Amino acid sequence: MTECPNDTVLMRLISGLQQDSELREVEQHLSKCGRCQARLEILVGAKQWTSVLAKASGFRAVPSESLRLVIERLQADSPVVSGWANQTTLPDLQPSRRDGYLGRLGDIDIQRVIGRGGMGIVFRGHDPALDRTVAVKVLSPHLANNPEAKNRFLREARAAASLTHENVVAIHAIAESAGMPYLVLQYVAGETLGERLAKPEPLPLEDVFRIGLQTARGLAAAHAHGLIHCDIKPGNILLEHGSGNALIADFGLAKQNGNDSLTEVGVVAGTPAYMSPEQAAGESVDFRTDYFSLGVVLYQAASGKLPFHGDSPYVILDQIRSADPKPLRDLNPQLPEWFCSVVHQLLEKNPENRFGSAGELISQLERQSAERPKKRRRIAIVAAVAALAIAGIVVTYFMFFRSRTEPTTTVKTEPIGFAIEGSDQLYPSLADAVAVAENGRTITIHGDGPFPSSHIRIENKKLILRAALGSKPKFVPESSDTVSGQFLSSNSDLILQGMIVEWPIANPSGKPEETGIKSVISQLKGKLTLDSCRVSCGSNGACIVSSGLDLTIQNSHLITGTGSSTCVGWKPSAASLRIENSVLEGQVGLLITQASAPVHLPGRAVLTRNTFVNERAIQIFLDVHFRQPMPITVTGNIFDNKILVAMFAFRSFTSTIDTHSKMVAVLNERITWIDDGNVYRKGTQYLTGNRMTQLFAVVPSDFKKLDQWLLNWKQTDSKSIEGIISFQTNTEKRDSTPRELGRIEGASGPIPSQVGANVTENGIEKWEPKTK
Amino acid sequence: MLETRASLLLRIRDPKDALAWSEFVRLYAPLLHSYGMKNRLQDSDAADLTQDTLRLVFRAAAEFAYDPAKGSFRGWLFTVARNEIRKFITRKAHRGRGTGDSDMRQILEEQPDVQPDEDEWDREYQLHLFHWAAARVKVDFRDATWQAFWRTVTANEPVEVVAQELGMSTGAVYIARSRVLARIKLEIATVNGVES
Repeated sequence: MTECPNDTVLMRLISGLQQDSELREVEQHLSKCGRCQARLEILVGAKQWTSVLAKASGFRAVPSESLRLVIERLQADSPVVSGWANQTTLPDLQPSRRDGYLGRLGDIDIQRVIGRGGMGIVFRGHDPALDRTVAVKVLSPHLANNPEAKNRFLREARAAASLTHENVVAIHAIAESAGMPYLVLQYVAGETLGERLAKPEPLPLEDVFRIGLQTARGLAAAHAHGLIHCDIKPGNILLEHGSGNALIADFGLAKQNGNDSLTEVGVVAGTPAYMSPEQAAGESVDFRTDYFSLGVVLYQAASGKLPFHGDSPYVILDQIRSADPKPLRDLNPQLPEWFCSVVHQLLEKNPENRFGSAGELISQLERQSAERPKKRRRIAIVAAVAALAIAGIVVTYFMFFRSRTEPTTTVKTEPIGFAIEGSDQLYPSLADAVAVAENGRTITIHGDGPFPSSHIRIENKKLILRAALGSKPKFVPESSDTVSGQFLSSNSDLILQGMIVEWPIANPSGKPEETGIKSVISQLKGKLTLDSCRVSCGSNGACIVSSGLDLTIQNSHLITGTGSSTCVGWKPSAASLRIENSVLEGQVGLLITQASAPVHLPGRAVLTRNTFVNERAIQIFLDVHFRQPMPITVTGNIFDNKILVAMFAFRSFTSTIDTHSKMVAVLNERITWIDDGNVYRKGTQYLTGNRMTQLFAVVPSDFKKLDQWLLNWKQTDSKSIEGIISFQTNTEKRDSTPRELGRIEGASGPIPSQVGANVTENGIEKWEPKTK
Repeated sequence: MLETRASLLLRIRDPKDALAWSEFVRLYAPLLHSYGMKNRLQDSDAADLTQDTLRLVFRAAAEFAYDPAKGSFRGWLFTVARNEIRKFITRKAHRGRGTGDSDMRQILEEQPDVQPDEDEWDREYQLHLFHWAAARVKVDFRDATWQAFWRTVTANEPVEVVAQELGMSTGAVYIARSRVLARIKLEIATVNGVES
């Protein structure tokens, strides 16, 4: 065709209604005729889309994890099918105190429904007293008047409330409101293993191993409390978003050893497919019933099939009692032999043949999967640092990480290196392992080192770096060249566990404006969690600087030198900071820099049961753009500082603040300080009490090295800084060299026992919450 | 013969139309999430915002609160999302503070305006609509046809290069992409319920 086709022909072509011969002709013509190409585009309105595509930037082809979860949740919860829209199935809540909440139950503000089960409804809520997100489980309204259901519901709580373990969902409180019992539970953002297994893509094997191991650890803790779960199934195993940590939920059927009153013999309770033979037979059960159920879960997770199935519960129960499951290896030949044998041992009909104890099971799983290579050590780490007495306070400090398991009887040569969970390969350096590890992996560090290291950058992948059981890996700079550099920086979610980093950041030029402040660990984006770590830096550095999302530091020890060094530098990008059960010592404990973006959420900080030994415990930079109050919740800490809170602000901001009362007003406007049960040193005495806002005072400016901090935060307008507003607990001059510390003895005032970090001779240990 | 299809918004009210809600979520959740992220919410907070807003939209739809006569659904959704994000930010800011009217008023007064850039919203809206529709119609085309469209339109590769690599004439590439675009347009029409 040499002539241009008319619009009718082109339209026919677009809608696919043309003849074959016509198609060929027009195609040939279109290949040469620019005018007709343009005409075709106009007819179909292509321009509209190309302009949209060119200007828009936000589209992500792959949804984020949170988005994916919310889409699934919404899709699964159709308003017309499940009827949430008319809300008639919700229990009666008290009227909400706040806009945007469904209502209130006791002290908890209820946000929305996150799950429904046979017995109850689970809400996401907010506990304003502790400023934390919680899950609230309420007995379904139609069961609330049934005493037996109520008993069973409350039994979950009473039985499990005393249990604290990272692989068990914690119960914060048991309460009743207008005759309606409810539980306040730890909020776990994520999905259940059941939801995960329902997805088309199979669960990676290393995840199966890890979930098995973590669930076994949770069970071990429950069993040690004399608690049998009795309903282990995928729907009761929560996988935490991000870390993937598995937590056992719902002790609804749990029973205590020797207490059969509610699970009567002959009454079958539980979920058929996951029941043990003895449970299916209605016989009395012991803790090994949970092993069997775990075996079913692992069998299903690894193969996609249930070991015992049938059309009705009776058929399933019969199978459980009498049929042998198909060998796991037949269903999935990729499974390692050891794993199949563990699962089949769990599925033994006779409880005697399963595992003798959770410890035995855990050691099987650990040795073979996550903690490969095989042997672990027990190290009684008591590298005690010299004790020191100041003004009548005797403090002792011991180092970290007691080995948490029993020693193995044989000791073989220890492999040393870096393993990526789920693989046999051992890498010689952390940098190598980080380079190879895929998104979402765990790198396990074997051996104590010290491992010389240069600056490691983690980009666009979420990782967990974790000391192997019994290992206490220490990282030091590779050369004096790297001393002024950093140890680790990441722009994605990162979890560090059990690591020691000794990074004496020096500043050879003596001109901080040339190099800026370096931080040993810096988090640029995403979440950072530091658990059971020790990080030290020199006189001009920071242990950790984060301008990313949530920052969590727990059971850790951060040490800095003098100068303008700081333990934690935090730029709250609409995120939360949580420091718990940690020791922060050196010049500045926590430095908060409010960001200058005009649209900004304030972020919030929660400091619980820490020990601060610093020149300044908390230092805050205010920014003129920052218009919202930032909540800082401070409970159960020991403050041993010259200045508790020091505040800095830009000149443009402070020029109108010329009196003490105005300063206090600004503080109250910008910071919501909530404190309770802290201990403050004043001279040789310790003060207890709360509402430290009474102690606001003004001291003259004496901080000389601000520009270093400004450089670090990429602020250039350093000359406009002035003024320190602070409130302080004492004015005694003291040196700020790192010191040893721990439990306070010999202080002249009474000190509550549960304040400060829990430092024992084994290091910083986790707190066990008090139970009545 | 013209056939009027009910808009997605009408369909989600129909208890028998179980797919409508699912599709509604698939279409609007990424848009709302992206909007939240652009307003500096964290990923998880943006997800919460998405959930709250979509549920609100459903209730509003069920109560016929949205009146097509008063403006586009796109504009209405923007207003709802903007209000939700304000509430969201206020709620966050309010945590840990004492209660009381004066506090509340103070927070609202201090509340920085979320930039009400409706043009930006419109572009995002169109973009998400486009990708949603593209994902739906993809199965209707042969792979080469799809590639010809996808690479030249969304990846902005030159027609000649793509044609050569796919072993097609440039004319065939033009035809392929016009067909896909026409199909996408049709798909989008089902959302708004215009005649097709």
